[in-house]
Amino acid sequence: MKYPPGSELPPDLVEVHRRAVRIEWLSIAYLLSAIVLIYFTLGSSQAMKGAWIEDLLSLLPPIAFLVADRFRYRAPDQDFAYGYHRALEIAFLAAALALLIMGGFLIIDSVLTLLSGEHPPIGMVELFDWQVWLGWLMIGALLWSGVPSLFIGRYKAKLADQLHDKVLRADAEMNRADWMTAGAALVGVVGIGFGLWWMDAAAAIVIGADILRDGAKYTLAAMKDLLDGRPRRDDESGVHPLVGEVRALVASLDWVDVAAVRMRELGHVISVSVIVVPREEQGLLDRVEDAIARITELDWKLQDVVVAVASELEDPPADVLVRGPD
Amino acid sequence: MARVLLVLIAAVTLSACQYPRDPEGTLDRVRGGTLRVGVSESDPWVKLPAGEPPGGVEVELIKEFARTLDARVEWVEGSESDLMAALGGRQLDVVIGGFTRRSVWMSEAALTRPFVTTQSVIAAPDQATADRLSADLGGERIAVEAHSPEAAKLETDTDAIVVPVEDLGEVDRPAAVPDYLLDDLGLVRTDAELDEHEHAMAVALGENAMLVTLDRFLLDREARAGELLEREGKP
Repeated sequence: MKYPPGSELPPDLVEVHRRAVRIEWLSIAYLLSAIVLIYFTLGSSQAMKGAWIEDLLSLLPPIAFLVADRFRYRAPDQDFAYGYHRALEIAFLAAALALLIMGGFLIIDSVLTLLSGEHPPIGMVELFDWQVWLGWLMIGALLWSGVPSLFIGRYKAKLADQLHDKVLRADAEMNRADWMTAGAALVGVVGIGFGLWWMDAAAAIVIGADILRDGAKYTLAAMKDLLDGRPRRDDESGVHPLVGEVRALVASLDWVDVAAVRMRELGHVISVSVIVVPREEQGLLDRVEDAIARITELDWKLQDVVVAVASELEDPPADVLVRGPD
Repeated sequence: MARVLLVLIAAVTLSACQYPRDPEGTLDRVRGGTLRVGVSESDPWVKLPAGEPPGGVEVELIKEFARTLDARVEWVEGSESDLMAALGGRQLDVVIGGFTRRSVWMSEAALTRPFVTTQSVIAAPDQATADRLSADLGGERIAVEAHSPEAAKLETDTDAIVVPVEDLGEVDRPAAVPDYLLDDLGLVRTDAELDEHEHAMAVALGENAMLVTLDRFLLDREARAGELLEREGKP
């Protein structure tokens, strides 16, 4: 059997991965431009502050992706015999926690602003001898922060599905939050213009709630991954289909009496360990190697596959057990 | 997104009479009515001579501003703290008193764009001294108006020896002065700048129509503000 490798992409996904790296570099450049633009038009608007923080945080997932990308091709060694796949999970948890904290901060800050009845002032600015209401510049900056995010996010979500990449998926969600934030802030600024001073802080609360919700969802997901939870789809919409496929394959092996199937995620890839109680000991070596090969062939993500044999299995949890064919 | 934007643009166009608007309608009330102005003494920006109407650069500018709005001006004298509290509670429309954009009131009131920027500079009686001072101030004796912010700045930020004087008009040695006094005092400017002040007026927070109207007025009158400063700033 082949030692579980460190680099894991099949040839047809290498090009997809290259595209993902390219879009992440592009994202960083684009986000930096939006951050600078919003910074200079920030003024006293609470919603603008929210949009700016959101843009700053949006930098984390692409950076995490690109940093993790430096490590993912490293071969396993004495220090990290399982490879470096899980570098991604550290990045994922950090990004999710950042979302959670900032969402909470924005809500508290905006509620306090709303309660104190602070009316945000937006005055005139002079731009190369051209006098303009700062509100118009804010709206322009928000459009730049919102519209491209919409398309970039959709593109990333598509790539994330193909690569089973959770950081990329979290990043796509972040871009979704970005354009929604920009939209809400837009409503806030236009509201200020109409003399509705509370609309700005109200918009910021809506934005904060959305960021908080995303943060909670991804923090929970990252914690489950670190606890070696059952593999889930990259968009957190349920159990990964490979779980069922591997269990069905083990159940179809005629030499298996009963087996415990354990699966967990290592970054992009899924690790499988099966403890089998065989019906007979004859030809066991060939059968184990055959089982490993067949599981590995199911999908490129199944690369770290171990099949062990034992004469009996004491106190297994019933729902991880698989029974061989009758 | 595009549809939301269209609706917004349509809404803005339909209400084009006044955008942005005031939450409390300050501008509408002032137009053709009364502009309530808080004044706090700060020569040459606001001068409050006893028994006479207020004068100074900012007072003159506010009079001209009120004229554009067809409004009468009601002057209210007080300390900065009192005036700002009244402004926050919308008992005043504008407060003036030599505020700069670095003012501590930045979060209590909306400050306008700066209508004039002044500098505190080190000046010398002749060009040769000016060149020497541009290079290094260490150990030099510099005259400065006693108890003034320039004196404080000179003390903390430079190695110069501070020489407090009561009247700058009679000084015949290097001095720290506001740049608009250079010609009147017959002094030459050096490269040493102590401080920069962006002068602005205060409007109630969130009254954006009022803020924008005053901003526009002031931005169009930077030259006029300079003229007034030349006139009012005489030592």
